[in-house]
Amino acid sequence: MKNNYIIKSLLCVEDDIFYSYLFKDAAESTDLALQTKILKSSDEAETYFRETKDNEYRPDCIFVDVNLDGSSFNGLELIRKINFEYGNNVVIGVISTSNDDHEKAIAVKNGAQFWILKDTIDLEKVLLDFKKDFQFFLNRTINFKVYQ
Amino acid sequence: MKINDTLFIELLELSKTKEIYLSGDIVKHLVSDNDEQDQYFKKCIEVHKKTAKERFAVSQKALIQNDQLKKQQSVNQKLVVELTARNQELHLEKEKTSNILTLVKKDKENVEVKLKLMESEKKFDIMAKALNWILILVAVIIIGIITIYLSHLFLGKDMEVVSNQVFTILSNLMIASISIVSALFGVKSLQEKHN
Repeated sequence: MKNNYIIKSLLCVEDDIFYSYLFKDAAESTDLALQTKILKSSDEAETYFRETKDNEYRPDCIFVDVNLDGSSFNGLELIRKINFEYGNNVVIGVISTSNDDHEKAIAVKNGAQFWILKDTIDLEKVLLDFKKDFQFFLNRTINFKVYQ
Repeated sequence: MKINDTLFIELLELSKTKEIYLSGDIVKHLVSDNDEQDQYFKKCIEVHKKTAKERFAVSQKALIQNDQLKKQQSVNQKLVVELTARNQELHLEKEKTSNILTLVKKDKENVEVKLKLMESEKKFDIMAKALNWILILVAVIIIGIITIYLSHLFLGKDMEVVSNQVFTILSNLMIASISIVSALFGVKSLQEKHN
């Protein structure tokens, strides 16, 4: 059996444990990625990225929450760090309850390619839409997109 | 990643007898050697997805309920704040009403006292006026008697009877006058004391 997954390794940085499991289940049920990893803080994510910099299992898609309690820097700063310090061919985006335009502008500036509103009723549908767009995000042939 | 035949037979047996399948991301990394393995791995992924889907549905339901509870809690907190504010307003209103009632009670007491004073003042005034009139009457009588006495004296009439009568009346009137003046002073001092 050969795998047909476009996303090899998916990372979700989310401090809300309940939502992170919800996200993982939605990702599993929609066959979003070959591997799904959850981290609770931006510090953990930075360390993980530093350690897997030259690793074949380094995440190729990252969902980051903006407000991360217990982290030394927020999700937008994490996106900037991953994008400019560790990332190459990594699709990075935000998954947040916030719908603030100013934050979205910062996210785009820092290299985010998509924004998913957390309070979406049908997360599975959103992830399926995202799955369809992923190839375009990877090729950078699609503009910043908001899923809501 | 591949699994050997012995392990696969055991896994297959486990799935048939107890419906236990491999699950998690590991299943997606397995590579099959034959159709039977391929079918088994597909089944494993299917079961894994189904379980995730069911778990997701339950979690989502719980999340929605949690959001609703949070919203309700927020509404309840607002209501508590509003009720507390209303309660404080009512308490202040009650205090104001109580203060007004106390003032009204005091005013009523003051009016009652004033009315009593006015009543007694009026009584004293009437008494004083009556005594004044009596005193004026006495003075008029005295003047009349003195006039009669002097007319008898200048006309050269018998003075013995007249003078006896005049002195008796005058002495009586003098006593009466002193009594009236004393009564007037008494009334005045009582009036002052009362005020």
